[in-house]
Amino acid sequence: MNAAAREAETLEQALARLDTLTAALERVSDEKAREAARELLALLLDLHGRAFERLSAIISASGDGPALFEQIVESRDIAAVLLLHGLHPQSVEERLQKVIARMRPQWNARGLHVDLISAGTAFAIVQLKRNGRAEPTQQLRLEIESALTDAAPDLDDILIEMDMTETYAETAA
Amino acid sequence: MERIQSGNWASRLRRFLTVAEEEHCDFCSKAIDSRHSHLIERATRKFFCACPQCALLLGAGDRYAALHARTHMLRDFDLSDAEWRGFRIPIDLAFVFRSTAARGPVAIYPGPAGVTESQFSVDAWSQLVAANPALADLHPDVEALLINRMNGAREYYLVSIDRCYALIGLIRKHWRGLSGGAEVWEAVRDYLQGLRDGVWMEDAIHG
Repeated sequence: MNAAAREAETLEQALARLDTLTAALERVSDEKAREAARELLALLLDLHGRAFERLSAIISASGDGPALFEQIVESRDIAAVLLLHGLHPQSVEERLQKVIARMRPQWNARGLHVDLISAGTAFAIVQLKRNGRAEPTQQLRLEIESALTDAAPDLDDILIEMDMTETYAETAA
Repeated sequence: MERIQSGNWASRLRRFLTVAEEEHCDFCSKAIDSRHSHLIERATRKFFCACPQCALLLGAGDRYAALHARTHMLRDFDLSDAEWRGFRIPIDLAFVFRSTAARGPVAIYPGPAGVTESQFSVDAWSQLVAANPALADLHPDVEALLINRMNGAREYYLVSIDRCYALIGLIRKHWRGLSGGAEVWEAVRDYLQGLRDGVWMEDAIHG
């Protein structure tokens, strides 16, 4: 990829490519090459991680630290890197609640109700309730999942628990 | 509840980076480096991964022995064709090691059943060691004498036992019919070439 193309790439595209390339590296059968890639990545991330940790400490220590942090994480580019290093000032729970609150009006209008049940370090569980309007289940799941995943790419998994009553009614009808 | 796999780039990248740390010592469960030591249980010939402390603590005991990865080509090895025939090994490829469990030398060689293992005459072993002093410091259970006399070759190596088991595995995997088939001998040739290359590298490292 040339410099101009890289410049035009959006954050989403870059992250999707990162995901694809990581998956490709996982499949490299040459153990030496895979280990070298792994070590190089780990070292590079470690160097950045150290710098960001120092930076975070300096910001936190300054007078209006928290406000400054709020402002900084508004930048999606910075937020992505902080997430990767586990330095995002908001917890997984806060981030997911924020997305749910933002999406609520739109989801409610479609007869959907999403609740965060629990959020841990590896995965989160959300509950989806539906009333009335029937939408394809799989598509709904994907939509909710991707909205939440964007805010918490550091989770292994987001589990969507469904209130099945409506689905049964759907099948019976 | 249904589980959906989500493409979480940050978690995936982190997992990729920590895979190497997921190996653990079989004795104390501590996380270990991908290049860790191995112990062999003398009685069962089972391999275990070990952290440096456990390898040091258990590695020279009665129950376990630590593997030392080394491959030495034994030059000017003294073994006449008549002596070799006296060993009654039906094939020109074998390895011999001192086994604690068998209380003496054991020979292993490829055969129709995959591999054949037999007691090796104690007297013959003593004569071999007398003629080739390099064999005297062969560690029981973990090191072997590898003999290759195939197609007129006269090659002798001192190899760590895991290399021998690798050869057994190779033969089991590729052996076909009574004589093994072309595929198995090709695999064995590659293996031996790898051994020679390994020796070459070792020589280069030590000048």
